[in-house]
Amino acid sequence: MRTTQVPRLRTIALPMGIALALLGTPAFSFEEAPMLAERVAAGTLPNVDERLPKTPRVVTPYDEIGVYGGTWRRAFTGASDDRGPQKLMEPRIVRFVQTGPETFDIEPAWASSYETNETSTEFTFHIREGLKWSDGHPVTTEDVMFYFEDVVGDDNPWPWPSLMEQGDSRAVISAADDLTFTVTFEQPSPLFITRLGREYVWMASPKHYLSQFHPSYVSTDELAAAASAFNVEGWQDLWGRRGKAQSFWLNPDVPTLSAWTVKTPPPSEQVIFERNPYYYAVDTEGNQLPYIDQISHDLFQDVETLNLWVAQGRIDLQQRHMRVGNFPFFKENESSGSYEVVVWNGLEVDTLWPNQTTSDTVMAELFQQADFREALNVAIDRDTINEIVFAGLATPMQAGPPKGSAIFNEELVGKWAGYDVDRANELLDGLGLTARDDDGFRLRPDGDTLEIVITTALFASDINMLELINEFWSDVGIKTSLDVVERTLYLDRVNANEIMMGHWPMGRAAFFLIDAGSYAATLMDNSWANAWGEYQLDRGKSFAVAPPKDHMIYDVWSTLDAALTAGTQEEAIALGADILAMHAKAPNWVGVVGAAPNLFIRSNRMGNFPAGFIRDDITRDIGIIPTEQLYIKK
Amino acid sequence: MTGYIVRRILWFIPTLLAVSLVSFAIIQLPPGDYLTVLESQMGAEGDYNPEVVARLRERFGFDQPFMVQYGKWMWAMLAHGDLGYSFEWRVPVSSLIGEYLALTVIVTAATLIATWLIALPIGIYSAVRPYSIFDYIATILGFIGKATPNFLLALVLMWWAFDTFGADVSGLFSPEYANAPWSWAKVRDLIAHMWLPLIVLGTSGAASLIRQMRANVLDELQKPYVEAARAQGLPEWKVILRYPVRVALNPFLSTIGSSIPELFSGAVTTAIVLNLPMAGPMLLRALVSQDMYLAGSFIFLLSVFTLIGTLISDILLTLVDPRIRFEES
Amino acid sequence: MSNALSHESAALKAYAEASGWRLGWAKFRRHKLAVVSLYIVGLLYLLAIFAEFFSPYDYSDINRRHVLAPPQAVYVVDASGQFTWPHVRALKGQRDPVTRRLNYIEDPENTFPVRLFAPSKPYKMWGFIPLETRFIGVSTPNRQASIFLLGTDSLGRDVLSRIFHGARISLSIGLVGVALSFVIGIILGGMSGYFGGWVDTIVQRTIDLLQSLPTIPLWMGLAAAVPPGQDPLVTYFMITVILSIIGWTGIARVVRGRFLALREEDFVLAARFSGASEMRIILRHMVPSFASHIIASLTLSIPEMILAETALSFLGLGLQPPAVSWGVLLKDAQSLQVISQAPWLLVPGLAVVITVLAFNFLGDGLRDASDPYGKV
Repeated sequence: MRTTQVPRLRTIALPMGIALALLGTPAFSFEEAPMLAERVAAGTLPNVDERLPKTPRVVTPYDEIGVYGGTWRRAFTGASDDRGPQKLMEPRIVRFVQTGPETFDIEPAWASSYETNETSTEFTFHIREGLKWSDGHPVTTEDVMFYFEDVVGDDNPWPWPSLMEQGDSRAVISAADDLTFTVTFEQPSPLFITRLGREYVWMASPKHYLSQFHPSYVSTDELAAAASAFNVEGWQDLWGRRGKAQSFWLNPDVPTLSAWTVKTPPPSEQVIFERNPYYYAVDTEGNQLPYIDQISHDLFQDVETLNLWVAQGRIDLQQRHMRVGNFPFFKENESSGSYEVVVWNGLEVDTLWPNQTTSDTVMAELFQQADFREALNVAIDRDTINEIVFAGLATPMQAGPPKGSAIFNEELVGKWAGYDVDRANELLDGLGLTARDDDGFRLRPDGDTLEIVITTALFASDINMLELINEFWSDVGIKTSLDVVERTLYLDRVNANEIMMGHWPMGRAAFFLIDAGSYAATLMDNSWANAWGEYQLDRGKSFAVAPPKDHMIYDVWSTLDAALTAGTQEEAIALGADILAMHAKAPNWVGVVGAAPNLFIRSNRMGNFPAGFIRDDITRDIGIIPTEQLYIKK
Repeated sequence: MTGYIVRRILWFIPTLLAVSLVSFAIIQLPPGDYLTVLESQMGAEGDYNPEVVARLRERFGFDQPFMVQYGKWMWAMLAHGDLGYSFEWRVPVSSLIGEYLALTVIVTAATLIATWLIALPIGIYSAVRPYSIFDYIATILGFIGKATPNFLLALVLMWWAFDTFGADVSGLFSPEYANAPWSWAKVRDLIAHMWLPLIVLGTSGAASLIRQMRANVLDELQKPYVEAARAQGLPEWKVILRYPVRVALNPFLSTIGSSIPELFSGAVTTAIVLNLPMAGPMLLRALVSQDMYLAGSFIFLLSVFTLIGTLISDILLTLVDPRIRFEES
Repeated sequence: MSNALSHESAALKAYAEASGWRLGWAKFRRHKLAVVSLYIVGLLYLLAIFAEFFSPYDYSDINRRHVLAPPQAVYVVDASGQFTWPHVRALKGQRDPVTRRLNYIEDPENTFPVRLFAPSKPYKMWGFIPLETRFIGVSTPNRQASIFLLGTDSLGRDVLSRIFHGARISLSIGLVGVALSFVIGIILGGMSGYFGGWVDTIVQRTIDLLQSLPTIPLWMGLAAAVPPGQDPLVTYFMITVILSIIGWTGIARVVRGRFLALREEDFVLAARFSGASEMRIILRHMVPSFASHIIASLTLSIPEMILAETALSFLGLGLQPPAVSWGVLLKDAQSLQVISQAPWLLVPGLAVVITVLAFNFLGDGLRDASDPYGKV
C-alpha cells in the first residue's frame, strides 16, 4: 500500500513561511485564553492539557503570534446567508491550505492523518487521539458510524451524499478501532480527498447528543417532546442543513468541532459565535486557538447598509457581499473606517454561453461553427469592458480556469481573447452572412435579422457589461437583445432548453474536475449545448438529443469519465489538462473578463490576515486560511 | 349609537376572513414556491441534491391544493393561534414576528404623533394667514417632503448624517443593544436612533395633514360664531383655539385609519434602506424567498392592524360627532 | 308640461354649468402655484413626447471616454476672459491609481460652441421619423466634443437624455394608471352611489378590504407574480394594472359621495320627474356636474402613481434595465458610491420631486376651482 500523507496538487510549494507546519507532539506546555482560564479557575472547565488532543493541530500564524480576546464583527443578510458565517469555521476532517501565490494543497484537520491506497479505492483516516467535541465528549469512530448509519441514507433524516458514491455503488465505511476508520469504494475515486475538502459532508456527528432525536434510539413520545422543545412540527425538522438540533449554526447545544460555536443563534438581529474551549489547534508556541473570543454577525437587508458600516468601521473582516464595483468607495473611506481593502484573486470568469442546441435551429447551426464563435469572441473589446465595468481591476480573458487554479491551460484562457473587428467581419462574411437589413444588421441564412437573445438572471450579472457587448456586436452587424429574468426563472428556462444564449459566470475553477459540468455541457446554467448535456445526463428530458458523430464533446465525456475514475489524483489531473486542451482548440463559449479581485475589508486592528490568496468556493472562500489564527490587536 | 357600533364590529369579522383569504392568495401568486427558491440557491452553492428537495416538498405539504393549504393555515390560526411555520428560519412564525411587529407599531405610532405635532400648528397658522409667505413656504416644504421618494431621502440623509457628524444612523439599536433585553438604556438607545426614520416617514405624511388642517380651519373661520367670539373681545389666539380648531380636529380622527396603511407602506422602503428591524424588510425577504406563511402572516396582521385602526377611528368619530350617528341610522 | 319643465331645467342647468366652468377657470387662475404648475406639467409632457428631439443624445448611447463624467458647465467667458458664444470645454478623464476613481478635468483651450438645432447622428423620432437635428448640441462633430449638461452614468450615457426618455414611461404610467383607475372607479363608485343598498354595501366593503391591505406588500405580491423577463411593454402594462388595483378605490369613494349628494339635488329630481331614463340622468346630468371634482382628484392621484413606480423599481419589482424610467434611474443611483462620488445621478430624483410637486399644486388648484361657489 502506497501511503501519501498529502496528495500534492502542485509539485512546487514555494517556501513562503506561511505554510502550516505539521509537527509532532510539541515540547511545550499549552496556554489558553483568559476567558477560559477564568472558567478553569472556577472549576467549570478542565485544564487546557485535558481539553486538547494529544497531538493538536499546529497552525503557524501568518505574521506573528497573536493575543487573545476581542470580537470579530461582520454582517450577514438572513437565513439564506447561512453559508457565510459557516465558511469561517467549517468542522472539516481535511482542509484546503494555500501554499504559495498560485498553489494550494489539502491537509488533515480534525484527522491527524490519512492514507490512500494505490488504486484510490480505500481511504483510511486517523482521528486525533484525545480529540473532543465542544462539550468535552471524546470523538470516536462511533460518531463516524453514527453519521453514516443513522444520519445520512435512505431511511435516515438526510439523503446519502453523492460524495460517498462512485459509479453506481455506495462507499462502505468501517471502523477498525476507536480512532481509525476506512472508506472503501468499488471503483477508484481519485478526487475523494479533494472533494472532501469542499462538499458538505462532515464525516461525523456527535452521537451522544444527537441520538436523543433519532427514532432508532428513542421512542416516538420522546421524539415528539424533543420537537416541541425545539418549537418545530416534527422530529424530521431537527435534522439536516437547517435542522434545529443538528445545525451548528442554529443550535447552541449541539457539540461541534469548529473553532467557534453559536451562542446567539438566528433568528436574531445579531448572531454571535463564541470560542470552542475544546478546539483542537494551537499556534507554534502552544497557545490554544482560536485567538478571537467572539464573532458577531449583524443582520442587514440592503447592501448599502453594509457599505455604510464599512465606512463607519463596523466591519473587521469580510469579503462576502463586498462588490468590486464599490472599490473606489471602499478605498476613499479607508481612513474614516480605519480599515484596508485587501485583494484576493477570484477565479470566476464572466461568460456568455451560446446554446449550440437552441430550439432556433438556424442559430444552433451558427453557434456550432467555430468561425462564428470566433467572430463573436474577437468582436468584443474586453479591455474596455474591464476598464468601464471592473474599474480596470479584472483580467480580460477567455473562460477557463484562471491562473492559480490546480489545472490550468494558458492557451485556453488566451484563445480568441483579442479584439479584432476586421477579423470578426471577415469571419462573418466568410460564413455567407453578408446581406444586411435596413438598420445595417446582418441577415441570417433564412432571411431574418441575425439577432441573439441573451438571457441573464437578475442580480447575478452586471447589466452594464451586457450592454457594452450589445454595442460591440452591433459594430459587426449582430443584433442583441437582453432578457433579464429572475434567478429561479433562469434555471427553469435553462432546464427546458429555452435559452439561446445564457449569461452566467464560469466558476469553481480552483479544481475544475470537482465540478466539470461547464466543460461537459452538463452544468445546465453553464451549458453551451443543453440538449447534448441532457443526453449525457440521461434524465429523461424530451429535448435531449445525441450530439453529431465525431463531435469533440464525446472525447470530453470519455476523458472526464477516465479522469474521475483514474487510479491517482495525478492521473486525473493529467486527463483534466487534456480536456482543457480540447476546448482550447475552439472554445465553445464567449468568456469576457475574469479573475476579478475579491475585496476583503480588513480593519486595522485585525492581525494575521494575508493578501493575494485565491478565493473560490472549492477552496472554501476565506476558509482556505486558518481563521483561528486571526487576532484582534490590542 | 350602540347599534351602529355593534354593527360596525360585526362587519369586522367577515372583513377579517376576506383579508386572510386575500393575504394567502397574494403569497401564492408568484410562480414556484419556497423549494424552487431553495433549489436555485443550492444550485448556486454547488450543493444541489434533488432528493433533499423532494423530501422537503412532501414534508411541507406543498403538493396540496390551494384551498386545503389555506384551510389548514386558517384552522391552525383559529384553533391554536398558530400562524404557521417559517421555512426559511425554521421556526414558528408567531415566535419570529412578535418583536418586528411591535417595533413597527412603535415606529408607526411615533411617526403619527410626530407628524401631528408638526402638521397641526403649521396647518392652523397657514389657515389663519392664508396665502402669506409662511403659508407658501410651509406648503411647498410639506409637498417636497411628500414628493421625495422615501428610499432616496433615507439614503441621502443617512450618508449626510454619517459624513457630517459621523453619526451611526442605521438600525433602531446600537450593536450592543441589538440582542439585549429591554431596559431603560435600550429605550434611550432606541429613541436616539429614531429621529432619522421619523424625519423620513414624517415628511411624507405631513403635507396632506397640513393641507387638510388648513382647509378645515379655514372653513370654520368663515362661520358666524367666530365673528361673534371676536366681537366679544376674546384674544385672537383664544378665538381660534377654543372653537374652530376643536371642530376642525374632528375630521382628523377619521384619518387615523387611513393613514396607518400609508405609514406601513412608506415604512417598507425606509426600513430597508435604514436597516430597521421592522416588518417591512422581513416581509420583503419572505416574499422573495417565498416563505409563504411568514409573508402571509405579515400581510394579514398588518391588515388587521389597519382594520382595527379604522374601526377605532370610526367609533371615536361616532362618539365625538353626533351627526354621523344620525346619518347612519 | 313635462316638456316645458325639462326645457326649463335644461336651460337652467346650461347656465349654471357654463358659469361654473367659467367661474372655476377664473378661480384657478388666482392660484398662482397651480398656474405655474400647469405650465410645468405641460412642459414635462412636451419633453417626454418629443424626447428624442430634446435629448442631446440617444438615451442608450454608450460613451466609453466619458464614464461617470460630471455635469459640464456652459461658459460664456473664454480662457482669456473675453465674452464669447456659449461653449463647453473638453473633458479629459483619468483614473486615480489608488482608488481607481475616474476624475475629469476640463480643458479651457479645447472648447466647443453650444448650438440649438444642432446636427446629430441620424435617429428616428418615435421609431419611424428619420431626423438629423437635435434641439441642443455642440457644433463640432469631434470625438472629444460632448455636452453632458447633467453628467453621465456608469456607461457614459447622458443623464439628461435618460431623464427625458424616462419621463415617457414615468409620466405615462401615471396617466394610464389613472385612466384605468378612473374607469373602474367611476363604474363601481357610480353604481354604489346610485343604486345604494346591497350593491353599495358590497362595493364599500371591497374598498375597505383593499384599503386595509398595506399597499406595498400588496404590490410586492402582485409584482412578484408578474413574471420578469417579459416584453417590457407587458411588464409596463402589468405595473399600471397593479397600481390601479388600489388606485380605483379612492376615485370610487369620491364618485359615490357625489352621487349620494346629487341624487337628492333638485335638477336630478326634476330630470327624473320629466321622465328621463336613468342612464340619461347619470350621463347627461350627474356626471357633468361633478366632472371637475373627478378631474381634480385624478390629478392628485397621478403623482401617487409616479412615486409608486419608483418604489416598485427600488424594490426590484418594476421595470428592469435596459428599459428606462425614473424609477430605474433612481434605482441605479441608490448607492452610497453614487451619493459620495457621482451625485449628479440623483438628478432623476429632482425630476420626480418637481413632477410630483407640480401635479399636487395643479390638483390643489383644480380642487379649489371645482368648487366655484366656495370660499377663498
